[in-house]
Amino acid sequence: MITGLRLFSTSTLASARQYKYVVTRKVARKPDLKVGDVKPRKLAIPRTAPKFPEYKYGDSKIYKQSNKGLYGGQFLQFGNKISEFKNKNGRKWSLNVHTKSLWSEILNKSIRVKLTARVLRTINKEGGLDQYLLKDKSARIKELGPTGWKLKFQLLTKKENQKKRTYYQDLEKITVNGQEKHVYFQQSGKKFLVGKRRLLKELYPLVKGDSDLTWKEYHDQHKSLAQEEVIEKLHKYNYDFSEVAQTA
Amino acid sequence: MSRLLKESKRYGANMKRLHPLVKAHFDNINRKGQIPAVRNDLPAVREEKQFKSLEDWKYTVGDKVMIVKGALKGTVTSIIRTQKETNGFMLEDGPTKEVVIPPNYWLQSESSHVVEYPKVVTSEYFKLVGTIKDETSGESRQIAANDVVFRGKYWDEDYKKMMPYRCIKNKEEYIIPWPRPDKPEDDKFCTEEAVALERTYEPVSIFESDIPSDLNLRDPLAKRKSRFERKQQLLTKKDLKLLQSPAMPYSDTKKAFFRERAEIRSKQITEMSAEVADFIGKRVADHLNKIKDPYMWQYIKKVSGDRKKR
Repeated sequence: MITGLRLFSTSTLASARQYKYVVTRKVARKPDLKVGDVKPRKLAIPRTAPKFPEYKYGDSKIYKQSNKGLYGGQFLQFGNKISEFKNKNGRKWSLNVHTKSLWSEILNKSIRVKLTARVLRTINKEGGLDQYLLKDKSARIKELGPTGWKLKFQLLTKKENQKKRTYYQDLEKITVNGQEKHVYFQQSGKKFLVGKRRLLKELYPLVKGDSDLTWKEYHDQHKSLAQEEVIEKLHKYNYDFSEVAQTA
Repeated sequence: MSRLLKESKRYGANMKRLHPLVKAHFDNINRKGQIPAVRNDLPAVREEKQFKSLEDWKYTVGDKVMIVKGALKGTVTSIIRTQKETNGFMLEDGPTKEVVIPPNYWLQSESSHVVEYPKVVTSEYFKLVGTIKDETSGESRQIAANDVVFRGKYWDEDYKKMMPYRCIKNKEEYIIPWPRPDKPEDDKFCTEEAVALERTYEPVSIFESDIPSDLNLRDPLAKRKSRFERKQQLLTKKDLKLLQSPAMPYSDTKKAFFRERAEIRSKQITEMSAEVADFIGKRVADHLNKIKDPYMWQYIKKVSGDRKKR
């Protein structure tokens, strides 16, 4: 026996995790459908569009409670209890599952979630639920499971929406007739108080004239125009910009 | 419901899954519960061992047979019925048994509860009888076949199907024909055979059909439209929208990664500048000028780009 030599493991325990029951799940491949294709006979079209993106690894078919919480890719394990006389008795290793309310900084509310002690420890190490969920490493995505994936989507959409909100906050403001209004953009010495969408609406009656052009037909033709092009077209019709813009 | 689920029979015992010995015990109890008249004379045969084809049965209803066992040995009679549960036969003048029949099973002509009923026998109980004709003398005589074999097939007009030739084993030149089946009687609503078989349409070309494309042979009052009549549903933009799940937004780290990658790609040099080209050209020229070996020069000229262009 070698003494005085300490054995160092070359890999940590975390990297040894293989997520066997996560990566071997079979997820049905979705058909690549286009507008005008014949509807497959067994394809059911839902009444409402799905609210969450699809989780790459799908739902677990075994130990289904793991689909409803943060279980860190862990599952029930089975083996034997072996006595001193080598008698084997079947046993299982169940997970240390708890229900916790964890605070989410981004959502600004606490989330009640079932999770294992190991995941709770990881969350503490990461510095919070948001940090745990938003990490992009492939091992973390395998760990998350369907519930973690949904929570991640909620956090990221909230973040995106917050950014959209700040877009309006950052816009320049001017007072017109005693009302405070955003300046969307400036062009050819004019401060526009409306966006492209409003300008398209203003252009519609001018383009239509006496013809039978419907809004949908008009919109399909004009929606891809840049905002400068829309203004150019309005100029052609001698549109009065006084309602939508102020001279700078 | 799947076949396995049906067979597993969640509620109630499933006889198929029992141990053969246990099953025999239950079968025995069942048999005791039956009235003697309906009990089988022969043991029941497992479904997979029951006869199915004509080749399995060898003999059929109407066949002439000679009894070779028991008190009726030597009697020539015919088969009146087959019993598929026991692979057994009933003979016209064969052995019978007295059975007691409860009054509710009595027929109108019966006056007694005791009835003579034909016993079911196996094929070992009789031999098939056939008639052969002596060609020289012209006399016909009957022979009994120990066993039969099947050689080849022919179309039988009465049975309306392919039937095997039934030959005597080890004397295959003797063929014992199958008995003629009873002709089915036509109902008054039946279409006559000649009318049904009359050919009224003859296609002229395999490329073009003179049948109108909108011809509908289905009952116009049928409640449900056929698969081909139903309009095929085409996918609309709205359908695809309902099937499409939202995309996961990119996280800050992912966005930073994309930004960094784009930056690196923008920095990469794709075209050689004149300075760099001059520098490389000068280095190559210096190296080539050092070479004095004429053979090496010959080789260099051969593989050089200028020569290739020419």
